[in-house]
Amino acid sequence: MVRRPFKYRWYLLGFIFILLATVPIWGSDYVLLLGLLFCLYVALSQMWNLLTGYSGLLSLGQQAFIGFGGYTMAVTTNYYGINVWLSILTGGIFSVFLALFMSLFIFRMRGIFFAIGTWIFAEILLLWFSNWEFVKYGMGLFIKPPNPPSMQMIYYASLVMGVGSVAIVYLILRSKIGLGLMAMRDNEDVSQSMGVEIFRSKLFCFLVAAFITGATAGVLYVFQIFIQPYKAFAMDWTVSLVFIVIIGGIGTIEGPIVGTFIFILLNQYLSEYGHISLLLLGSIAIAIILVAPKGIMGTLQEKTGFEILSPRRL
Amino acid sequence: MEDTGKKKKGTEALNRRDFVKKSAIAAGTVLAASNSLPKIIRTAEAAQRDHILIGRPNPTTGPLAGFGEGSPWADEIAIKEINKNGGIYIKKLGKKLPIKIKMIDTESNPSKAGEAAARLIVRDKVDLMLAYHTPDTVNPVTAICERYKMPSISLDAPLEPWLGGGPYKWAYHAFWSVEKDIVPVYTGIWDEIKTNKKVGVLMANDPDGVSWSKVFKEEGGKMGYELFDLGRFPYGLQDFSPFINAWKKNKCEILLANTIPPDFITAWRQCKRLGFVPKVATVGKALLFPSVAKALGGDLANGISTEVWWSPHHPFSSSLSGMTAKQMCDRWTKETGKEWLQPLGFKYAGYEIAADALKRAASLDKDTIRQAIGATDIKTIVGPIKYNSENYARTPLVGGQWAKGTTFPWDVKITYNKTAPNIPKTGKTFAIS
Amino acid sequence: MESLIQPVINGILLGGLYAIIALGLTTMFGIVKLVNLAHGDLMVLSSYLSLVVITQLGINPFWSMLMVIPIMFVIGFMLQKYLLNRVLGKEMEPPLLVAFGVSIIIQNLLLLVFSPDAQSLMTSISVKTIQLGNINLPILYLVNFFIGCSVVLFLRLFYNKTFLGRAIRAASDDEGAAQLMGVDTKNIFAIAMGIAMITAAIAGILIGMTFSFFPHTGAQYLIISFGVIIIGGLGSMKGALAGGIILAEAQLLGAHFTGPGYQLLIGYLVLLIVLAIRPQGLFGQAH
Repeated sequence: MVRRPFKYRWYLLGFIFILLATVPIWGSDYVLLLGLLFCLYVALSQMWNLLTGYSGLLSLGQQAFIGFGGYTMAVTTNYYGINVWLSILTGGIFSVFLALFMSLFIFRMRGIFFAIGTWIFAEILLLWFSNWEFVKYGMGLFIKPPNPPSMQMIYYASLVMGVGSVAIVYLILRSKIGLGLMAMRDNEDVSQSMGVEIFRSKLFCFLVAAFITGATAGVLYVFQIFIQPYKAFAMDWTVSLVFIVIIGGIGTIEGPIVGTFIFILLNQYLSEYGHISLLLLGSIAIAIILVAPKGIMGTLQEKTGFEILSPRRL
Repeated sequence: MEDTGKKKKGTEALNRRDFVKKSAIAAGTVLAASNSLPKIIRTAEAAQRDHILIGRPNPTTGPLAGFGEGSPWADEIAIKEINKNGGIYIKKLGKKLPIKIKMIDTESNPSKAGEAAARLIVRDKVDLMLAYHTPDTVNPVTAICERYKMPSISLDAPLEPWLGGGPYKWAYHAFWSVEKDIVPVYTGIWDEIKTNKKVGVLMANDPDGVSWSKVFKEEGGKMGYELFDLGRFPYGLQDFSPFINAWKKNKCEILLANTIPPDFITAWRQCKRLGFVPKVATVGKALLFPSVAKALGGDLANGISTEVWWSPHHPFSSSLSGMTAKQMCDRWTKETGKEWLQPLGFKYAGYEIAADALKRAASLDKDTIRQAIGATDIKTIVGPIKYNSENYARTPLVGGQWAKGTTFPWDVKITYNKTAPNIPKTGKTFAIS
Repeated sequence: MESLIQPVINGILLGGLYAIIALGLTTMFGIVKLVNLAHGDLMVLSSYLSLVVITQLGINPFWSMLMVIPIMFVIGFMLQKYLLNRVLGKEMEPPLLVAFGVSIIIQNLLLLVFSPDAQSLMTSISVKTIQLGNINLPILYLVNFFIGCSVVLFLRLFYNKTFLGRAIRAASDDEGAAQLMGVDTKNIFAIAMGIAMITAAIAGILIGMTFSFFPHTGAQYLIISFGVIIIGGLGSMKGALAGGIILAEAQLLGAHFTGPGYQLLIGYLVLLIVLAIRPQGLFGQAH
């Protein structure tokens, strides 16, 4: 099916953007909370999708950046009294350093070994932070910035992360890097001959994903006021992101957005039945992989050619 | 091919210009409109109020589920008693409102606890929050309540980790302190058995383990005890032999521990396996519930000492109905068939404090409620509660020891009460080996 | 020097247990080329099944193996035949993600059915040890080691010498050729998974006796399995034994020198280093 970008997509996108941007004006506190979580999870899942759906880097360790970015933010603002927005940025930057370090080890590995490598790094960080006196061991830290932001400010920060992540993914994929990645995705043999180019592109995506994930975590923990290593570095994060992207549509830009929407709704309805919601999510995800492996948006694109944000230039 | 490309690009460019123009107009319209319209969608106080809603994040599942187990049983008893005569009188509405609670499972996860608290505040619009059961539940919930200016009453989590998140304006806490209560109780138990005063330390790297080890390091030496602490360990550790071997080497006759139940089960069995049997074992948090004593297997729980913050023998009664601690425990056993649990009294007491404060406030205004809580001075089923200038109150603590029971396989007897002599002893401390 | 002997011996014995834990994963991974991320949780499932059998019938955990093993075989067989076989193909992700989903489902089902409380399988030998001078040899560790070596040996013979074992290997090496030879590859894979589940059942029951378990413990045993495979090499039985011993030694000796809190950490660090330097492990084939 020939894919044609949806003709009115810019209107649709513009509408959604305005809707989101004005939530603090028309929305209740509850809608504000939901919108905040929505934007943050969109950012996180876009990054997971960038890695797994587009760069062929299956990551089971995003929580490494979430915890590291969150803790960096907490330490910077608590211990050094730096303003909270700079601290969040610092969280993102330090996550890039972490990613660079990780890449020394795991970029030598392929496929499942890469994935396990990311997971092991996350576990190492969990053990490290929970044993580290500087961050008060497993006790966790209260986040007390010198300039505590209001809920509105936190919301806008998360909006920036959410919209920014979509924009960044879109721009990367439309660039030369993206062209190379998608060529690799479609045809493995071609990629062999493109060697170094592909390696650099993958590394670039890995670093970008680390930055956004780390910074997003910073915003998240400013909202939650409390960070603790056992949950910051927990596999639970990866579980949510995997489910979001699979259900929404792996390898599409709209997929994570749709997936996040469903995830947030489900979470709210079943918040009182945590295990049932996970059971449901797991079953739906499996069903989707068996029946419609490209997820909601992916299958929609395949069958009807409907596409909003196309990474293709033609 | 090229023509179509150019044409597409042209229309696209036009669409993008259009988009910017149209979105600017749209944005302006929305902003203008929303400033003149009354904030309909934004929440306002409900015109018709027919109950008072209390938020209750509870660790119903997860590693802390042992604490969450007595709910909603204990909560429902308290609520029934409060609502017996119609509820709490609210001056502005000129009538009595009954109390309702909304309980959300935090899954023993501090992030989920924080999220649950936020949802209770903004979605369910609770009037008051009750936060119980270990720092992992209490700390994030009270922190979120402070941000949203929601009055909260918290119980059942040691003081020191909670104080780390202070100073508090809207949160009020009551429980025991590690330094002022646990240390005298534990060292008191140690003093009751003749030992060589050498203590092996086993503590996880969670809030409890960190605060306990720090305090004991400072205070233990003052009382003539020598502590051998190899450091904190993470949850899920499988091999405790380095600890155990160090204790054996130093001939420790006392064990001081604070871990989650599964880790203690692994560690204690390994102690047996490696031939380390201390004369006294004081274990915090891990051995509070009979289910853990049973899970240890065999006779392994025999003689382990722990802290007792509530029991059927505590000489306190409810300010709502006069029900004594013993009556509450007997009722629990009758209605559920299970052995009594320490958190039961505290779950109930939270409602006593809430009801008393609400009655004095006679208002749904959050600041009025907050001030009323601050002025609390009542005798509850867990003891007297009166908050100090830092928003906390200390509840009495005694020491107990596990032994084979009569009606149930395992029973904890109160064996040390010098810290609260009004709570009667039901047994005498005995040496394990 | 003398104080090192105890951790070294403990490491060898613990290594035997680690080997059985990893066996199911390494056979499926190396032979069927399927990474079963639910492996750890299936092990914990076996522990719980054993718990049910023991509480209902009042028998010893070792006897419970007789009941749990067939049940797990069937579960593995059905899982492979009706779920995983359908996504086995060229792409790496679908089977991984399906297994991931299964893992989450098992964890949450266990949470719902059993409480999150820690459980364990008690036997009379759980706390008995043999004393050799200054060395303590817990009987349970010896039993684990013995069973571990036996299972490794048995599986090795199975996959190398029996027709079924070789059919399984043939089917995964070249599915087309195997089918031409009249081998029903889909069934073969299901049987392989069933066998992997038998080892998972044994491992799960031994773990339940040696340590405690609760619904989430699957994850840490999955990591141990990967550690063993990475160090010992993919698809190799003797690699599983070697990898198990090396990983256990790294953990215990590491703890001996740096402090017990870092035990797990040292294990993971060793793993990372091996992954970076020699990803095919000791006895595995190069990629």
